[in-house]
Amino acid sequence: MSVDIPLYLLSAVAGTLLGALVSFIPGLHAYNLAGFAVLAYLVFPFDPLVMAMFMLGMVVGYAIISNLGSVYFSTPDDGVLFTVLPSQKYLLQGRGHEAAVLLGMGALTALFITAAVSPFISQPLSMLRRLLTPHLWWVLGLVILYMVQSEWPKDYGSRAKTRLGRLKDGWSTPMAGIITLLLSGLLGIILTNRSIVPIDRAFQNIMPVFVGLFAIPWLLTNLISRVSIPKQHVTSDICASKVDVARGAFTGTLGGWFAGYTPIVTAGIGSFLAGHATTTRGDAQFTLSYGAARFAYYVGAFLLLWLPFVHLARGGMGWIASVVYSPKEEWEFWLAAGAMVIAGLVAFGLLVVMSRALMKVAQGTFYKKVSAVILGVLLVIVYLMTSWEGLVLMVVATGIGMIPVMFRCRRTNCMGVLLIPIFLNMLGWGPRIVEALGLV
Amino acid sequence: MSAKEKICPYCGKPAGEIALCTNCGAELYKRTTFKPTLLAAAVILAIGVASSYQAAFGGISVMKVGDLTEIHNYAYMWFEGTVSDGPRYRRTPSVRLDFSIYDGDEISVRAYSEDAGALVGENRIPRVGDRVKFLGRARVELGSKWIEVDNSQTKFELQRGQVDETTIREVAGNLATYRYKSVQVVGVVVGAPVEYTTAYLYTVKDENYPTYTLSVYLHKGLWELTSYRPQLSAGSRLQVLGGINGYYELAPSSLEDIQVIP
Repeated sequence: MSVDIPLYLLSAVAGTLLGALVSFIPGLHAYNLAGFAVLAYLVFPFDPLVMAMFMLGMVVGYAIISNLGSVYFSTPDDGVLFTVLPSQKYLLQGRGHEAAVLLGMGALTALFITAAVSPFISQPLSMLRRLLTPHLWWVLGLVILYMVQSEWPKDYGSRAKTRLGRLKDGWSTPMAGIITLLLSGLLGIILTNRSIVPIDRAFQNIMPVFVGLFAIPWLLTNLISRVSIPKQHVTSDICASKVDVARGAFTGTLGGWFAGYTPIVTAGIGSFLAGHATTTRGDAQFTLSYGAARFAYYVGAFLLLWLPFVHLARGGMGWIASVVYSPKEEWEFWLAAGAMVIAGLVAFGLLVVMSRALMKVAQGTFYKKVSAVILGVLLVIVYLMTSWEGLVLMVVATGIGMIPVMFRCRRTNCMGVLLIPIFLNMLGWGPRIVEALGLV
Repeated sequence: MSAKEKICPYCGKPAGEIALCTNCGAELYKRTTFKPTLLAAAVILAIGVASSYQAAFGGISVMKVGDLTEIHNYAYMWFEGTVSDGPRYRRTPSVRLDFSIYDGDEISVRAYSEDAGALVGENRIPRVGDRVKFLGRARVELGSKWIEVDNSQTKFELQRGQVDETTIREVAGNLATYRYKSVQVVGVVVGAPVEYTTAYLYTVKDENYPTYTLSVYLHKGLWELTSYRPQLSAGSRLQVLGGINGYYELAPSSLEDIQVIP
């Protein structure tokens, strides 16, 4: 078969490098760039497989390198430390590089498992798809229910003296989670039925909302934080046993795959579901699991598009790529698997190198300067991509996104923006609710 | 500092003899070096190289019709077989050329719109007895199976069957032997054709041994593919090129495969 394999692999590596560049900016996603890449392709058509490989590289780069942003540029103070990722605790202990390497190792293990297993799962997955498709609505419903149910009351040591006071304390966090979920769900329903974003920018409809729900609260937290990051250290080994590595990465991969396969469920949700299911313990396991879940979710979901007999468009990149390209032959799957592996190794190498570079500058309150710059960049990007209407949408979403920060519940509740409208539509209630809200 | 006391590899401070560094919280004993990671990376790289090699030189794996199940519905696969029936052609409600292939099991193959147009325009209409290898989308639903041709321009290989110039007597006397084979015979039209909803069935007899006859299957759509109109009235002497289908009928792929000879 005469195919230009080196060109395709190079496209993937180029995509990885570009994905790595955008991965630093919280809120800016590889998907946003992919949208522009598709537009460029439609104006100047070229081999769609080159485009698809480029997108694969981008998503691989994003899945691995974006971990650096969550380690070095997300710096909560002690008030919210309780509810944030262990990677930030590592940073405050001078072990940011270790957290980055753990996240990378998780991704590398997920890459290994995905590459090793994917050639054999076409037929079982195809069968599973036939079995599961009619039941996805209640699976999604259970995921939402579990998210609510697993919010736990947090004891801050300031126990109220009255019963009512203690009841209020106990419910403050779970209630904040429920309110976040419901408000973001309502925003999602409005957004999917009557968005204020101009129709010619509709392909970036969701971007200002995600920036508002996740990135801006993160940056604002950084800006008001009083923490000074200590000097970071590099060691020749990591603080995790082999069992931690195996268990954390396996759990994360499972969670990532579940999230990648189930519509709307994201890596964070999949990771915490799998973590609970397999009783993941300790910061090292959690960090590894998170790195693995992100990779398995972003890349695993995209790989489904190539899987023989399956060819399932899942995840943002899958949907975007399927606009211009649909793989049909087996060799394309092997090419995608090869490109995924090579891009993954390049990204892992970049992660280590970039982490070493970042740890030298990410000390003291450097993160505040970075956060301020990123905040400015995001505002400009949101305005350019979605006009002032997008900025309004972003501000509304920021209000919802600040609830978890202020009331210390899980940020994954913000995913209600997608989970709830899709669940209601699957349930068949969507149109009636939309009508009741006067959105039609 | 006692002999057992460790220096924390992270903060560089004395960490005591306990499992966790008292200064930064790092685990001091349950540690893993990067060596296994590098080894894993090497193994993963090998998988990547092997996958890329497979993509470049792996060849095409062909799906057997008998192995198709409902899980393959809408899946793209390569198929290979001998054309066993057809061709059938229609213009409305959508352009469609269909035929059947046999690889141990028989299945209907459909080419729509541009794919049908490419096969017709390039004179590559499959004839019973031809070998075809093509990329198609399997459809398995409601108890039926069929394949939809995908990209007939570049993903459809047609190898014309070797034509056996023989007699109607020879073919009619050995029908099982000639099944799914291409033949060219000379004969005389007997009577009027039997008309079905979608096809005509002519009877042609061996001019030397009139008791030996063959049915010639002509789908009505063939009249839409060419302006050539052979004289098919009773008594016409014809040279017919076609293949013997599963019903033991002689099936040409075009009216141009039928020549009236003096």
